[in-house]
Amino acid sequence: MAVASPTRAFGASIRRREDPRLITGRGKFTDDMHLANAATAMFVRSPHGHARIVSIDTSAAAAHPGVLGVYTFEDVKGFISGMPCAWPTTNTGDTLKLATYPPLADGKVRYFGEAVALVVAIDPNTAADAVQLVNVEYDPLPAVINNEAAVAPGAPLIHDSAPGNQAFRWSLVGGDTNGALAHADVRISQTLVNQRLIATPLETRCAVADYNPASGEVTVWVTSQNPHIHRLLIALSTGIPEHKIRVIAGDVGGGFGAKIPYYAGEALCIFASKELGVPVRWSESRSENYVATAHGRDHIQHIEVGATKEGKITALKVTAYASLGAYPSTAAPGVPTWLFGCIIQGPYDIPNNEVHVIGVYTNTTPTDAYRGAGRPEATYILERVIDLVAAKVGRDPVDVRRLNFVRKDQFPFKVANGTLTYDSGDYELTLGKALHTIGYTDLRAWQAEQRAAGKLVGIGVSSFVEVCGLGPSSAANAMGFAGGLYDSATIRVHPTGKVTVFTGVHSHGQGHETSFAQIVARDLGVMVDDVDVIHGDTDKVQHGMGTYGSRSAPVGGGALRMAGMKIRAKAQKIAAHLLEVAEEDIEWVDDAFRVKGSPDKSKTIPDCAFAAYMAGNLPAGVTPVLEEQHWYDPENFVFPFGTHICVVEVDRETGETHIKRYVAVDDCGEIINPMLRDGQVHGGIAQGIAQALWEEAVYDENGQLLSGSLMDYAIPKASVMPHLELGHTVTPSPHNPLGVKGIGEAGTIASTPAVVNAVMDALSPLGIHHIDMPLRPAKVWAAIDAASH
Amino acid sequence: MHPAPFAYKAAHSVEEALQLLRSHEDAKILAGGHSLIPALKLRLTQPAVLIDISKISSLRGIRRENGKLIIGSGTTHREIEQSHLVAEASPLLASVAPQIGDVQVRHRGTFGGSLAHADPAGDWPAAALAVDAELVIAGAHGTRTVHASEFFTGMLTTVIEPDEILTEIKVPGEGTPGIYLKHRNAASGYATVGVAVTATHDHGRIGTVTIGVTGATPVAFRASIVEHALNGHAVSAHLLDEAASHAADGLECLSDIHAPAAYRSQLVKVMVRRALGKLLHA
Amino acid sequence: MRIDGTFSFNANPEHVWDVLLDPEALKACIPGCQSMTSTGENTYVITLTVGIAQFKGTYDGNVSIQDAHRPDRYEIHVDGKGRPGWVRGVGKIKLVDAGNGATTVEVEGDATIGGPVFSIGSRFVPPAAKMLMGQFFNAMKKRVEGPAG
Repeated sequence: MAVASPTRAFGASIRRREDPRLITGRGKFTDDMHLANAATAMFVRSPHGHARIVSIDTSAAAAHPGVLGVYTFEDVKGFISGMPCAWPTTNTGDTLKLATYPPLADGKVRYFGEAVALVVAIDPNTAADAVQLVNVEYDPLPAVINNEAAVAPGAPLIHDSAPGNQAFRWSLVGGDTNGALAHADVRISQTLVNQRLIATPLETRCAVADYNPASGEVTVWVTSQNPHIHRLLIALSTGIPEHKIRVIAGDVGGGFGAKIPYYAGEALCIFASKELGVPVRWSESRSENYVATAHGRDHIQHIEVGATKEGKITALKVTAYASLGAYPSTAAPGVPTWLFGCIIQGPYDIPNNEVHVIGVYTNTTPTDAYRGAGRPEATYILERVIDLVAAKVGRDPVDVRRLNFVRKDQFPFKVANGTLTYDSGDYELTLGKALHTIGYTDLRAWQAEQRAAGKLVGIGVSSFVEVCGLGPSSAANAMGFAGGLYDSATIRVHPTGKVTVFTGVHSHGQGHETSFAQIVARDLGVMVDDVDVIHGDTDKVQHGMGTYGSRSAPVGGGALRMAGMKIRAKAQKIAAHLLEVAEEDIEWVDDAFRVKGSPDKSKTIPDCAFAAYMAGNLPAGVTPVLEEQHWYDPENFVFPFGTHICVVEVDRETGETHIKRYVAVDDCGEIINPMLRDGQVHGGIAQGIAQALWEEAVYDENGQLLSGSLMDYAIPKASVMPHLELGHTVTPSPHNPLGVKGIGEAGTIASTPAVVNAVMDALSPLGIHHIDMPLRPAKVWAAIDAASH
Repeated sequence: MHPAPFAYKAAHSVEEALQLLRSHEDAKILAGGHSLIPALKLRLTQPAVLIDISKISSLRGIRRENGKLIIGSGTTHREIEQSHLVAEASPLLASVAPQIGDVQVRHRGTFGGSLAHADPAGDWPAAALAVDAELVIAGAHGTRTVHASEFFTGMLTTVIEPDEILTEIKVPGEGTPGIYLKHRNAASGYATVGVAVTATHDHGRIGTVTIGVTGATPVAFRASIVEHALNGHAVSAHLLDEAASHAADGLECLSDIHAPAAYRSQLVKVMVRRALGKLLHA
Repeated sequence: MRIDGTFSFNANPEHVWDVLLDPEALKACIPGCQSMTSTGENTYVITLTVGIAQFKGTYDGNVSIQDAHRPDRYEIHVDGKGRPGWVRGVGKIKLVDAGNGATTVEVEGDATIGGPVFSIGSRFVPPAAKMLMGQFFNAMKKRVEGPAG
């Protein structure tokens, strides 16, 4: 898919170059790694939410023909005794109660589906047969699922090391919230449940480990969003030296955050390969994915708001009970704290705000980042609050948004709790464009007519700002993250002028092989098709921190730009030398170095590359070859923003919500590829609508996962998606080398409250002001039914 | 997702399939496999033998005979969906078929398989009841014919004996107007409630209404109370309102995480009313 | 999970009681009962192969009769597990003299079920439980009202 010229590569809607491979079955996913003699690992999983293990009898399974090994915690603990947590954060005086997360259950199971024993056999069928032969005796214990019930007196204790099931208390305070609440004209208290979700990537998780006893090296193919973090955590948790570990995350079929963590299944493939001397593979089934892969969200939030009678919010106080699940997953403590609390005032100038988070253990699958990770939870609060305030003071919710927005002239804007400084923004701009696109004034008139005719139609607005492009390492360190959040790029210009790019971030659906080539093509003046992008292999790619938090373009892309400029700087010296002019006498015009005043006298980057590899005719002090590397540590986060508007009709008799229109105006700064940007927004909106209307991980009181398959867990389908009307504005990030902000999570963050606000607006004539998500038809109908009695 | 070991036998005639059924204990019939294979892979069922009847050509096809539509049990949902004969002879069946699963599912799943499986949320049972289908069952001693009203005996159970096979389904072929309304479970696409209705009317007077309801209860049923309240009466919106309001009387509805019993009961009433409205224009 | 039901028997409460608690009758009437062995007074170990249609599984468990007050009421405690899942439950059973030599048996069951079968097929479980209870009492009814009744 050629673009006319390199200069036009950046910003062009180039089709994804990875797609021909992926859609014709030529991709190389982890499960495609078929190594000779590879054995299959499978897990015996707990049928209880909480139980003491009385005994495990592995003898029948071990004796089954074709079984190579059956292991319990006692067998593996010498290799790995606990799964590490990389974000062990707290900021209050309380100590963080970081419970040990054993790779296999250690005496007790704490969630439904927890791995109790590992079976390794010659093939999947044999392994599955042997799993049935492991006999585990359990003594069931009372379970606790609800986040508030977990920390209530008398709740079943999940970890002895975490009294009261509390992992941490965490707080951020800005201004004088209690004082402002006391003096507010109007006050609103509301409890919101941000339900538990299951990421459901198309590709479930998979790992293949090949340990070489002769060299002590291990190669691990794994479904990871961040192979270098995986390598580091494998080294730290198993003692295998880091330089002996090669992690390869090739094609990965969606992550949504759930492939950030380092999981026991992956570690135990390495254990078994080392133990048995053969490669070992483990591939999740879908129902296994639903219990064994991290879930997301799961907050209960108590909110108090104070506002003036005009609707200016003067105080916001949030107390959130956030579930870590049964064990602390890799990044879990950071998600409901820093990623949630810092942005608690969103795009609004709320001078007094407080957020208190109680991290709790419950008898559920561990949680971790899920698309948006913390920011959807914060945005949902704010956007519900704005609408509740608007209803209370009797104003249009759009006017209340405008009244509270951070104004364009306030940037850079420091939030009240002091943690963030918004880089740039123009919230009126996206709001105005969204209102114009949807025809807001006419729409409200139409709504009045429809209401008069007895129809339940609603308009929901959601404005947001998010913090992403994680992030400056100094900020990450200050927030307790056990790692830097820089990223890296190596650009290798080959002697023929073709280019290979090595990036430290990872593509699992984002399209980096296309968008990153566009960045480099522009900077180097070469065609996009002459640039290949390599990622995901720790033996090929320099250290990098992977992809999450919409960081690929801002941080990985930033590194690429900086490395590209280094190439240009070196090539410029070579070009000047070859053109026999002083460096000051040439300029970069139309994809080449040209002599000022004589543009026909020029050298391209490929020309310079050839000379650099010939190396016999280089200017003094210039080294051979043309290859540069850059580690980019951003000076700030980036802050994309936008406004989404949703129009719904609710069927009064069945409670069904029909989305009539959906307008999204996003501002993610400069746009590398509009088609990919739209794709990210489409996917994000689909997942956000799904949280509003359909998705929910449901446990019963004993900790049984009732939504344990796609028969009961409702992911969005193409057939139920509305037409999306997308628009954008461009407010570049002033500090990012590309001027870009992130776009991967924006749709998810904005859409959930847009839909819920629309449904609540539809139901408001009935006196209904809030229903917790998901707005299943049955729940909505029950509310309508109750309101009409 | 690996089934327990089983033996596989492909039958090429109904006789051979019956013979295989008789000679193997703990055998299951495999047709389209859309209910059986997931259960096998999850090891929720572990039969010793699978007898594949999908290769029996005599079980497949749609024809009209003596005014009746005769559909082989192995006919796929997609074949029914695309059949001009079905569209003409049984608008109700034509309305059901495209609402089952998705195109891929409809290409594999079979009419007879769905009826024999008798899933409480299956679509075809409602329609079979509404058209008073006759189900032909073959066994060691020949065939017997059972009306839909006697075919379904409980959740996932029918009158088919372990050594019998459902071979064909006979449906009235007069082209009686009919419609199927379905409230889809957002996750599975199965019917939370599905309502299959046929109705005749002439000069403002209702002839015969039949209503089959699936999804609401462990086994699909005929909403006879509503039918009796309508048959022979003059069409009016009020009559339809009144009749449909009793559609859930006495039902013990299913309840799950998606839809509590009270909601299913509401859906039965609303959807019966809406289907009647569409057919009787009131 | 609640499983309630009411069943009528054409026999007096004492007779119904004697049959309902007769180990031989239990063994014959519990759906799918493969074996039932007494391990003490009113306690048994039991093996069942139960299910509906293709969803069948074998369960091993313990059954005990507690709080028995002939002919008025007793409790049946069940605790079992099998490959498809596990079950724990208590059935409170009341025998009410309905006059004219008839008895109404009222069952209030409270069961906890878990494991893979529940996680994947939870929609089938409550109706299945109710169906199995119906089968049990219908079999008992035949036995009560059969030769002796």
